[in-house]
Amino acid sequence: MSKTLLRKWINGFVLPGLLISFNGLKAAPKEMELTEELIFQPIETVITAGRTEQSIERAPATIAVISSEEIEASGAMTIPELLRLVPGLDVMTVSSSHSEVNARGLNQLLSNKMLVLIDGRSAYFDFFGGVIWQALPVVINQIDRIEVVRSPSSALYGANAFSGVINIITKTPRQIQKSCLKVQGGENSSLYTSFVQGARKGDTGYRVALGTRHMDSFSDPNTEFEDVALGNFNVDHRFDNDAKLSMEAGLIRGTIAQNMRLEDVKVDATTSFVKMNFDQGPFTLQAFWNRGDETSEPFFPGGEEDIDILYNTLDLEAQHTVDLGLKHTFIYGLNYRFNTIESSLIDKEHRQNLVAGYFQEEYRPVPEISLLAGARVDRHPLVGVNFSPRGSMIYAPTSNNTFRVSIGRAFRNPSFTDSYIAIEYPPQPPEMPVPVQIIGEPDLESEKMTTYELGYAYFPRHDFRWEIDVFAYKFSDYIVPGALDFSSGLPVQSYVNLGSAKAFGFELTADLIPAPWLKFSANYSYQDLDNKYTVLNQQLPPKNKTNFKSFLSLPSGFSASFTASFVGKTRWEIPTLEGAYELIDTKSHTRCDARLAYNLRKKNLELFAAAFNLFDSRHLEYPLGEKVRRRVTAGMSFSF
Amino acid sequence: MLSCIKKHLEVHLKCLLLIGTGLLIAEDRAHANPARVALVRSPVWREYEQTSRSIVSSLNGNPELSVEEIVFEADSVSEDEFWQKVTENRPELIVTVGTASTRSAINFVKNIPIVFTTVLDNLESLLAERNSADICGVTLAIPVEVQLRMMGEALPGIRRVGYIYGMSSQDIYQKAEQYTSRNGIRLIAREIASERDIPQALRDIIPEVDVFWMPLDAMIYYNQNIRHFILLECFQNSVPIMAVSKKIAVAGTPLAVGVDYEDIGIQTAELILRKLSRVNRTNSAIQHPRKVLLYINHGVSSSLGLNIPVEIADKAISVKSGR
Repeated sequence: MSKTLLRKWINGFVLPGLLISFNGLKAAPKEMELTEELIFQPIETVITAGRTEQSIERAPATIAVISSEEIEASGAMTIPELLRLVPGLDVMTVSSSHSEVNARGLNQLLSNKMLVLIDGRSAYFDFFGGVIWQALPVVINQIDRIEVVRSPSSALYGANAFSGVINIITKTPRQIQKSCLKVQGGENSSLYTSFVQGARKGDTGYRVALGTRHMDSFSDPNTEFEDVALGNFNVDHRFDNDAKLSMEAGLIRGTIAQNMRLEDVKVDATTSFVKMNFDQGPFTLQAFWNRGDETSEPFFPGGEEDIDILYNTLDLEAQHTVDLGLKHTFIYGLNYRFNTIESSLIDKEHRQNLVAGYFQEEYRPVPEISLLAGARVDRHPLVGVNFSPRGSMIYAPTSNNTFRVSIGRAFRNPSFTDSYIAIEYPPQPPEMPVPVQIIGEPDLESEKMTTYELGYAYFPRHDFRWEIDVFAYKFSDYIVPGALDFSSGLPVQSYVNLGSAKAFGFELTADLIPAPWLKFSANYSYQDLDNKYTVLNQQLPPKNKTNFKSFLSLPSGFSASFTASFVGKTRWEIPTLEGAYELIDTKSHTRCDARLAYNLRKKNLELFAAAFNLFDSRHLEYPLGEKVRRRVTAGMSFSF
Repeated sequence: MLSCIKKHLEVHLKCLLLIGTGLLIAEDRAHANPARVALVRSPVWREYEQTSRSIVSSLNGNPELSVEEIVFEADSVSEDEFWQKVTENRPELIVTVGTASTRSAINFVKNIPIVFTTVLDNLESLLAERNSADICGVTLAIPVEVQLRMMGEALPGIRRVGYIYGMSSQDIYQKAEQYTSRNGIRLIAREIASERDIPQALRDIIPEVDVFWMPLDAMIYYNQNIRHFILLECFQNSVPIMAVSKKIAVAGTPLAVGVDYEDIGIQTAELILRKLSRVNRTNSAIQHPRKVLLYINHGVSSSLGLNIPVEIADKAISVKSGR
């Protein structure tokens, strides 16, 4: 989905909730009078030369926004590090080059439940339905904001928006308008470099972003875990009739280590994309082509042959917005997706045609109430048709309060590996003296989820906000590896729609700006999952998570940030060499990050130091992963 | 320095003109008593005092005029009583400064001409109830064409102007549409039903525009949260704002237009003298400010990479954020 399409969805679907509570210190009179007193009143300073006062992002409930200021203040070198502090998101550091992200308790290795978009282009691999975060061809410095929707969103996005959407929005050429070079490096032989340049002249703009990233293993400094180079280029042009055309392309190439259940394997990958967007008035068209070419070491101990994966995805989408008056908007669209996949992991080359249609209606009978309804119909060649409806109502009885209720249904189609995998797990004597055949199951059902949410936001002033979101969901037909089948003599494992689960929980968030140069944020998440979907029904996500953030930005040029996050105990079902599962807990842990910077504004230079896991709390976030260690880095950022 | 000298020369020339007009009145009233003028100033704001001072100092040299300055404080007494007291000395003209005193005068004063000044209110409905021959004044409303022209001069080459308006600002939208289409500029406008729609509308149009035009609108200027949001959102998306009033330029918009309250006072004084001399040089009951200032927040405009022509920047007034 294009950046514009997503913007319209967020603006139309959920922004009204906060818009309705958009009144400040004093409630405006019913008939606001335009008198000269309006221009005589003192007005607080919002922007000084080159910097803005701290602000609270105006995001509606269940959408968390990470702004460019927060991105810069974090010193993060990877996108999952930015997502760690989002309420309701589970971010798991498996190793120094492997992270998994999911929402509300559904995190796992090779997580495939969240839709990740970059400017509206899906970034997941249809091959297994998940995202390899280190293989995204986007530079941190070029990101303008990251919007996280923590609830099922298939009504507009289709499959993979199962537990939510993460949309990475990059800066436009106009927002960049210069060149910026950044270098950051330190422990673990970590080195991050980036160059971003953008300019706009008249109706044409362009942006270039280049970057490299290098990281060694946490546990073995002689083992290189990540070494990638990436780049992307964007050009856009606005025509006299207000039509806009943009073309974009990008590529990332290198080696990353990924934990494939039992051990880390090196993956040499080249992923690339080309995208085109055309907008004219209420019409929007988007087309993109994603390509991935990967070669990795054998996934299983004792394997002899490298794994090859070559995939292509072509996606076309058209959307039309109909304004039926100031209070009534109707959006509808069509999507076609074509996938091809060749791999030594699956039985043969496969091609897949996916078609979908969707609509969304927003109606505001009175300014205090906003009603939204939407639905999507997706057709999958194996599963058939999936129907995903969604509805919500937003009610703002007073200017500072917003209530929201929503119900939605989402689904996740079986991936190529779920349906067609055909590999042999080598013998692991003495526990498993014979090989295990792992084969896909083409007759799988889609995973399905229904979510109910209640939200309340209180936003009385621009410097204070708190909100609470309560959710409950149930999902069914979860796809997992099934039990070993010995009926043919040798053990065979396939995928099955195993079971269901129910969960409920809530997320509390508060933001406070006690002074223009200081901001505090905190959030607490609670989730309780009743597991009937894993093999032993005993895998449990952390019940409690809490995050604290503080940002300080002084006029003198000094800035500092400090964040702390606590994650409760997690119980995992881990496959063993015999093909069975055992229970392993990862303990609760607290991790603190900090960044200190000095900005020499006149020289457009910033010097900084950043520490991740500042107090070196060595802990496992996945039982078979690496113990996370402290990483101290320093760097500089120069604009010209 | 040069602009300062120029400003003082302008003021002195205008005073000479006033003295000249005053002499005409003096000749006309050679054998009559000085004309009484009651100047009723609305309370609170410093801008009212600035205008009043300028009016009084412009008229002070005239022996045929007697100006009595009164602060409008209808809280302590009823408005009826207040105006009875003001009119008991039978002033020939009542000058009101600010909306509060002007509205009250229109409602309670009959048979005495009124000259209003430093007003932004929509007085047309009230004026329609009175004989417009005996009421005129100087409004603070800067015409749409002037605002857009000054914006075009400060930001040459802009092609698309963003504007958000409510139902009560339809006339401003129409005038803006006419001006922009005549001058090869595209007006990207969004009509909204309430202030709740502003964030969505702004985020819709920001990618499409070169500049966001923010004329006076109660929905936007009244609400601190909305102002804060618009300033931040535009700045973070590198879209310059052209607003109205010096204070909002100090708050962080790179450009703003505003009025010179001292010149408003001089303009009002000229109108007073014309009214007293019964020389009706204009058919319009409402005059717009004849001198419009451009404020530039250079810190913010530099951050946005704006290239304001030197000849425009030299004539403008530079402001700094927070001061």
